[in-house]
Amino acid sequence: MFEQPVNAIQMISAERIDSEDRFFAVSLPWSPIEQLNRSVEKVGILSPLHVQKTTDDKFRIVMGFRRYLSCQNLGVLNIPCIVREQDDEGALFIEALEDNLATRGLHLLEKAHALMKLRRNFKLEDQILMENFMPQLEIRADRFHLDRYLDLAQLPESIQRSLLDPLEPDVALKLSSWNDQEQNFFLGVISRFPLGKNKQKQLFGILDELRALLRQGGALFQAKDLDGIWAECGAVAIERDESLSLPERFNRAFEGLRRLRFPRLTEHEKRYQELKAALKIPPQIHFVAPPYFEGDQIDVSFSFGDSAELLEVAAKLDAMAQKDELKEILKLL
Amino acid sequence: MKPYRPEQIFVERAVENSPITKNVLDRLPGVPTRSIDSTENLLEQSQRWNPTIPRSKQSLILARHKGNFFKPCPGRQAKEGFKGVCCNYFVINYASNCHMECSYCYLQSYLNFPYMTIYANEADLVTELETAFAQSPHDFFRIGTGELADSLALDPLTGYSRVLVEFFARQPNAVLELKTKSNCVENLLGLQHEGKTVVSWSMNPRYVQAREEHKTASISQRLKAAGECVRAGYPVGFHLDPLVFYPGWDTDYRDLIGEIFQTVPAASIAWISVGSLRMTTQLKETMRRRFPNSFLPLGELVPNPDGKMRYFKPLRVGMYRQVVEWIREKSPTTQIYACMEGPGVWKEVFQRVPKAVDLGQELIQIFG
Repeated sequence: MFEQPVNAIQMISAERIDSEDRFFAVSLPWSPIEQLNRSVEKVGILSPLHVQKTTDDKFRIVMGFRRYLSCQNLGVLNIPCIVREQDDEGALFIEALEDNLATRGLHLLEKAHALMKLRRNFKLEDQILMENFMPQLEIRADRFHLDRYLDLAQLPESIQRSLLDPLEPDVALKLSSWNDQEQNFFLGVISRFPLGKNKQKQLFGILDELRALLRQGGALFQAKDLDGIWAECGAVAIERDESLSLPERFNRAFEGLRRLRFPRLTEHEKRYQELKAALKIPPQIHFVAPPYFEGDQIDVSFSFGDSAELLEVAAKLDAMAQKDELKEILKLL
Repeated sequence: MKPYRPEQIFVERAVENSPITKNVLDRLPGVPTRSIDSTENLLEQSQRWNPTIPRSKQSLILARHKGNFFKPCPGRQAKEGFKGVCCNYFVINYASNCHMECSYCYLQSYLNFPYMTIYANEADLVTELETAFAQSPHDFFRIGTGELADSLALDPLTGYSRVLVEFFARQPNAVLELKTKSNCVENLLGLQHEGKTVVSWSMNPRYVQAREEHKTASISQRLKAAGECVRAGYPVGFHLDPLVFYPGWDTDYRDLIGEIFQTVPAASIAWISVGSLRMTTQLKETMRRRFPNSFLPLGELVPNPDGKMRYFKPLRVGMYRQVVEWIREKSPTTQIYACMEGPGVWKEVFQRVPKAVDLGQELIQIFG
């Protein structure tokens, strides 16, 4: 069995520990630690930090960045530490990684940074990362996933912070190709509308395409940037409408974006709705065009409770069949 | 067209002595070549290392095709809730992947073996076709090779056209279509074809070709090559596919159709197909990533019952009608068909919904 030399626990003044040196850090400096704060406040530091001496007076942390931060938050002056004598920084980092994996689940960004450090700081080859580390981090060991995690580790800090909540990783990776102002716009929108994974992707997708239309000069709308698009599709006004629930506001704003994205289809739908309204269809008759007009038949269904109602519906259908508007609707398909 | 030169060649031992392998190796001197027992390891490596598409195209694999070369066109298979109008077409896949880079190419999201692959066991291909044709002597087969690869782009390396054109020249009940975006017709010009090979080109206006069909032959080069094939006695075909909507599309397509009929006599045109831009959501995502300047994914594409996205029906029906009308103005009798479209669109564009067998018969009329 693997045995480590036993090092004595020492109480080291918090001031002598350089927490800015994050060479061995696995956790992220902005990870939430409220739960750990409560624990430290209640029972103190149960597992000593592992530190390495850097100069005569200073130490850097090998393991225990979050515990150190908690001590700082709580004003702890002296912290129990084990001073590590080894020089092999790679071995110490792997130990730190093991320590984290053994005690908590890592956020995907922490996994991303761990892979990045193993590659950049310790010069490990990609094949070693895939064979030895990705399975341990519970990441599928292939090039696609390695590249994806390395890309996540290199995202701008503002996007990484949003990845903790509410930003989706797939969206985050794509968002990094937008400029700062555009990134802030999107992060602002998703902070105002709490969206599930799919809706967030849909919102990003449609905004990304509208943005591309702007850049390529193929847009049929007036706006010059994403803020302008948000206003032009009516979303600014919709956001202010407190008579609507938040999901209703989002759905309406999204519908506005869709109208800008699909102007010809929108015109077609509008014409269909006008003609349909002119048919004055009673509520017991459902009259539905095929989705996106992809089909050549209108779907009609109706309900009735007695013979008289059925005759009434039949008379109404007969009247509809005579109208020019119906012929016009059929031409739209 | 930008000629293809791989960085490395892998030759499966089973095809080391094939004439196609010899042709390729003779024409690519200096390219590092390795013998391999099978392509399985390469597949495993590609899944593990997930090389980029351009990177994987730098490897050329000469392999033995283990399954059937010959099969019905995938357009014949009904998807759930969707059955396209079928033109009774068959395909033979003697290669897979393409070194040209059309932004809209479905191979980007379709192939799971990402390398440029040529199946060099051409004797097996010929035997398989002979058997199929002999088993159905009263059927007439229209067969293309352009499903998973361009039919002619690698022909300067492989010389596959000689094998196929001369084989089809001897077949009483089959015709071959070589579909391309290249101008590699040199090998064809001296062959005995007996009019049983149709050389066809995918065509788009120059505006689209320049922006979206990277590394392909220019439209002028394609038309010049078509003229050369006509002079060599080949029937030719054109595929206005994908039809792309953009401001000014109508003028550009009308001009293109005019240019085609100016270059090629209508009597030499076996068929013209039309098909609108279509893509799966996965392909759309790949296109946005690989070709961020492409305007094609930004069109008004909506989901269709076959799982692909196309321009919404009234828009594309309008396009088809105009294009068909412009072709009819030039030649009222040229065979025109729509590819990968359902009965509804056919009815609106052609005022009929033919059965596969009937449409197939119409398209082979010029072969007697």
